[in-house]
Amino acid sequence: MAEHVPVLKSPKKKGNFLRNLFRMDLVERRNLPGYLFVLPIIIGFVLIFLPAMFQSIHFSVSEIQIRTDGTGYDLISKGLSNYHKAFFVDASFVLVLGESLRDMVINLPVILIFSFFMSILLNRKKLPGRTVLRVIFFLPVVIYSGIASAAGLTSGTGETAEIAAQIFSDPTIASGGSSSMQSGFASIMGMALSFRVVLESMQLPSWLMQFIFMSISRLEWIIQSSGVQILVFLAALQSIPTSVFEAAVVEGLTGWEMFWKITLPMISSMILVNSIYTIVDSFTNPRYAIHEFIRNQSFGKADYGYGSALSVIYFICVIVLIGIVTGIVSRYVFYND
Amino acid sequence: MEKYVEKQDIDLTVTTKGQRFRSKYLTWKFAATFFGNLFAYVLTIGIAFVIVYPLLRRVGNAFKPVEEFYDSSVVYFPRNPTFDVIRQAYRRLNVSTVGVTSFILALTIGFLQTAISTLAGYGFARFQFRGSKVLFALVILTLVVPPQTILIPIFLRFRFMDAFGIITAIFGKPINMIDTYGPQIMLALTGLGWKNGLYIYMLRQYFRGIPRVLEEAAYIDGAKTFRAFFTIMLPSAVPMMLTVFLFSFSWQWTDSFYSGTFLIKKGLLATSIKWITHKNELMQFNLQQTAILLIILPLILLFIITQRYFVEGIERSGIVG
Repeated sequence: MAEHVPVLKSPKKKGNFLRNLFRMDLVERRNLPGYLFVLPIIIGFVLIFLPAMFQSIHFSVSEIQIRTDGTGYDLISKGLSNYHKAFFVDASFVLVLGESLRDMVINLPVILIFSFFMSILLNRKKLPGRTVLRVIFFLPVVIYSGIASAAGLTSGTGETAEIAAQIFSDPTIASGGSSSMQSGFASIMGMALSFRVVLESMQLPSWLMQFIFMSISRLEWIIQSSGVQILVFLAALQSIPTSVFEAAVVEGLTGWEMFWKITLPMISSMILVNSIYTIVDSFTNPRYAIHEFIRNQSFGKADYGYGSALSVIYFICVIVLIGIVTGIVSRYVFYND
Repeated sequence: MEKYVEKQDIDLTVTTKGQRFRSKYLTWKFAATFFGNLFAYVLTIGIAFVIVYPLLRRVGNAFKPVEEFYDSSVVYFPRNPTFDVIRQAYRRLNVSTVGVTSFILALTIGFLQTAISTLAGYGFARFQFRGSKVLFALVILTLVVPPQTILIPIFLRFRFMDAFGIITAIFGKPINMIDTYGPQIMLALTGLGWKNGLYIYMLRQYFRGIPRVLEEAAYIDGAKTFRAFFTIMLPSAVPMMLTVFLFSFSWQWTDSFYSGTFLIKKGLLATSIKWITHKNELMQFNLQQTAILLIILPLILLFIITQRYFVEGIERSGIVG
């Protein structure tokens, strides 16, 4: 992101590093009150966050025994046995982790494409009522967090989602279960079925089919986790100066060309922001099975050491995922500097 | 852009009504707008329906009497609407006790997170002290680290709360802070609360967007740093602070992650849903769903009243700029 505000900088200091450490010039002295503003944050990092990070790693290589008299806990070093258990003994962890990461990897591009597409639709200047629609699209951010999604308010009994899930869940299963569906949804069923037939007749590669089917069956999930992303894209679209488009019209560009040559590059930096936000946002979504799994292992079974090992593995996976996504997306980002 | 194109389209030589009609509506441009809008409406309204549908479905169920759950001919609208389920769910939620404490806690956390994030956001936006970049990178790190990873150490820390061994020296053993509101308040006070990194980031970007000249004028008039902050910067940041407060309040209101960990026996509205039981499984499910509906009802009202701040807050937060 570009620096809009000129920040006062002190010149590079020469000479002995240690002697300069406690010497301040005018600019540095002026910036001193900054410490006061961020003091709570510093305290939080020093006393809670950083120790917790190190403890998490420490706990993961030990077993925690809570003393019965309530005076604390003892750590017994166990080496890497917790990690060994996670990968080679526990039958379900690798499965659950893989499933959650797969969900994340599938959802990420779908959420990005969906929110981008929706923001372009909602950005149409001549669409009356777009503010109302914008508000509805943002509603899930406020209400479908936490308990609401944990308790299945967003899934399960919604028939459209069920039907979509049944039809699109597995392309290898022949679609014959339509008779058991509720009659009112027969038309949706029919449309979905014919859509499926059309897709199958296109003879796409099977991984692509799988991807399309999977993303349709998780329609609700996708829609409900793209509220913020839509708004971010919308704001980015509106921040493109109209003079650029006017110039393009004078030069004779078509709408199609304008989209690829102006709109997309101008908001490409937001694609990066949104993809990282999508990943970060997924940490708090109880729909990813791994969260409940780690919680059960550590708090349900009071095996804190093992739980720490699992959460460290999860953390590493997420960091690697963010690194890969950033690496891929930032190649295509255009900065208007 | 559009004005420019429109001027070209209107033929000034047209006089009769039919010709005027033709030149206005039977053009490619009008057709493109019309079908474009139709397409946009079909898609956006359809998707908006997917968002609202589960809510409407729950509202319908909440008014159904028990028998109608077994009646497959009743789908959306109950035939004999009653308030039975709602009344029962309301009673089971203990709104007068649990509801009030949940509300006070959400308010407190909201205020604390907003205040701390505003201070930190201003500090990061305007002062380049030594280590400020490292510290801001750490703020981003708190966002990127899944809360699951640091939950166990934090839980054990509050379970056996001790300040440098002083408490153990006095009382003989550390304090158990689980099942008090201490942990969540302390986390909010130190900027480590629920999604706090995001709030700091939003406010920092917002403060960076406010021209520096404003404060410099105050400095020239003789104001010191803090006076300039409180009299000049704070009032201009109120919309963004309100946004952050709304987010913080509503996410704390529905949070079950920290609340479920730190308040095991003591329930909040959001975490006491799983304690609503009924011998009839279908009825239990319906009671729980209705309870959730009751819990998010104030949020929906709040959202409808303040949606301008929610939506514009994100847009103007400078995440984009």
